[in-house]
This record gives sequence, structure tokens and C-alpha cells, in this order.
Amino acid sequence: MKDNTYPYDHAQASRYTFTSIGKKRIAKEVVFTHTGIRNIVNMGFGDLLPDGSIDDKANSNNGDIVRVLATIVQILIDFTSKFPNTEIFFSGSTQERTKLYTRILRTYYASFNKEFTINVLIKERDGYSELPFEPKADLKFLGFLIKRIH
Amino acid sequence: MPIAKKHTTTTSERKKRIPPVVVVTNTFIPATENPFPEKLKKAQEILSKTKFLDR
Repeated sequence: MKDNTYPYDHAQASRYTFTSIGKKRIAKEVVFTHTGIRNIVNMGFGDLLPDGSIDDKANSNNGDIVRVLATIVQILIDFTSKFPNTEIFFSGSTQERTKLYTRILRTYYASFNKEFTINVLIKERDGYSELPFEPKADLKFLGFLIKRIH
Repeated sequence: MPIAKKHTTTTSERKKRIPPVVVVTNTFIPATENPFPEKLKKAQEILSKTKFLDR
């Protein structure tokens, strides 16, 4: 997975950019922002628009989703190597996207598992609960919490 | 006693001495500059109501 990634830039420690090259060339941005809760950092990503804003709902269908996600994983590895005590929270901008992330985590669990602890958040009657990610569990996840294993 | 002539540095020597300025900001971007304000708000809402494993 590591070999099939795009090169990325980051002028700021918490902002990474790269270009997806498929049918079109699409600038992508990954941004880490502190949530103010514990040491949890929110990871957001999407298409970088000409006005500098980011569209995290775009379905670019550029034919390189695996390479884009592999690049995001590399960025996650880079960021957590610089900030090893942070936990990274992310969720999809839509339910379908969260399901896609779940499928990817299931597929690559064996390799992610060596570098990260992966937990999930599920809805409960009076809030949410954090559980360890079980690839075979048939649950609806609201988001993911990832922490680098030292 | 003869006054030693002060050596004036040439432009190329000055350039060699001054290292290039590389700005590396090692801080998080402030929440106000976050390009995903809705997503951050949603994350904060979920996390503030979450029972974490170590609690």
C-alpha cells in the first residue's frame, strides 16, 4: 500500500496537500484541527477548490480512490509520528463515506493494526461509546479514533 | 603602527554566510481557520458525549 501513494507537501504541520492524477488532476488537502477534547485531533480532507476552500463532499470519481486513501494513510503516519500523543478522529461526510472507510479499515486491518490502535464510536441511548474496532463486527460506526502505537 | 585594512565582504561571501530561511510551523492551525467548521463542530458534539474506553 505504501508504494502506491502520491507525493505530498505540507507547509504547516497540520495541513497537507497532494494532487490526485486520474481522469483529471485534482488538488486534495488533509487538515488536522485540535478538537479541544482530550488530545483528540479531527482529520478532515477533501478537494481543494480555487478559492482555497475545501469540498469534503465531492465525488470526484477520478479512478484512483485506493491511491488517494493510501496517501491519506501515509499522511496520517507522518502526522502521528510528529504528534505521537494525539488521537485522530475522523468520520465520513456522509453515511456512505463512513461505510467506505469501514470497508477500507476492514481490508487493511492487518497492516493498520501494527501501527495504530483503532477504535470506533457507536451511538447509544444517551450518547456515544468508544469500542475497539473489530473487523467482523456488524455495527454502524459514527466515527473512528486512531492512535499510534509507540 | 600601520592600520590593518578591514576586509569588506563581497555579496557572494555574504550569501554564503547567511543560511536560507526555512519557515516550519509546527503548530496546529487555529480552529477559526479550520476549513471544515461544520465537521469540527460535529466531531466536538460527538466526542463531548462519548464514553471513552479508559474512563
